[in-house]
Amino acid sequence: MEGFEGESSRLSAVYLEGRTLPRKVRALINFAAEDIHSADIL
Amino acid sequence: MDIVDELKAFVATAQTGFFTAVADQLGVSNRLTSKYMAELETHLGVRLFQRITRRVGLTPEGEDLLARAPALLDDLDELLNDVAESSHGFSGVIRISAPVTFGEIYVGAMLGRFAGLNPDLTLDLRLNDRYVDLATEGIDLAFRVGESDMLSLKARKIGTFRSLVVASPAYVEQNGVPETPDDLLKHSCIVNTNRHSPRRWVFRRDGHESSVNVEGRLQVNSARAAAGLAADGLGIANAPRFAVREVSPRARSSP
Repeated sequence: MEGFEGESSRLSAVYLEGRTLPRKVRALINFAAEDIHSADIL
Repeated sequence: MDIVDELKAFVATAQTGFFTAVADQLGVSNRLTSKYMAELETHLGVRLFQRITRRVGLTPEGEDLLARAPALLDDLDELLNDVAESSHGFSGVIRISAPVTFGEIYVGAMLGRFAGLNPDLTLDLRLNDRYVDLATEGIDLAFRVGESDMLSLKARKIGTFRSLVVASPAYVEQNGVPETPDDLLKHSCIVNTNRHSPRRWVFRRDGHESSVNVEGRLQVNSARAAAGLAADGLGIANAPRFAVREVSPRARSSP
């Protein structure tokens, strides 16, 4: 299937709206966003 | 007692209707609780409570205060915790939800690396392929694949997965290589029922999208299991790259 690209899916970190996100959770999201690009799985 | 403690005492009293509950929660006597409420009313210059025998009810001003004070106290607690954490490092618990395959392949290892940097932090990872309600299950953060249509959630994109079509060399030798999406209709396709539309496989070429509704006798609710069945020569699977990578020595992928 040369030339065809497979479906792409968005990976998100989700959390509840309407409350302040604790710093430790924000830090984990930032860490995951950087780490996943070095993990070679996307 | 300062204004923060007075507000805490007010919220506890207003939510329960009894000064005795405040005494239990805050460790002060009933007499002192009454005194603190009187001081808060004096401080604000309005009556907050209507005293009905031993139970207390709220005035309209008290109702207004109760509507906003709990969130304000929660924000203040978070602010104080954040400031404390910035000087001492993170502590406490983060509860995380993730899909099973993605969680097993990536999230667990990633959390291990994050835990190594934060030795006082406890990480509670819960793997589940069903829909998880963050509010009722006490989850702080969930990793989700695909679009989220929940209005009560905020989402931050952290990456994009590409799906690959995979089969074993033995399967390809016996059944041929599909050259176009329509060619998949002649093949045994392995369906991952965790996908939003399990049998509708979507492809793009030169900016144009096309899809095909595949057929197959094997279906499974795991991308990794689907890729594994393909690697074992049982058909063609369509799975995210992270799941295919696990079985890649046994499978051949395209595109």
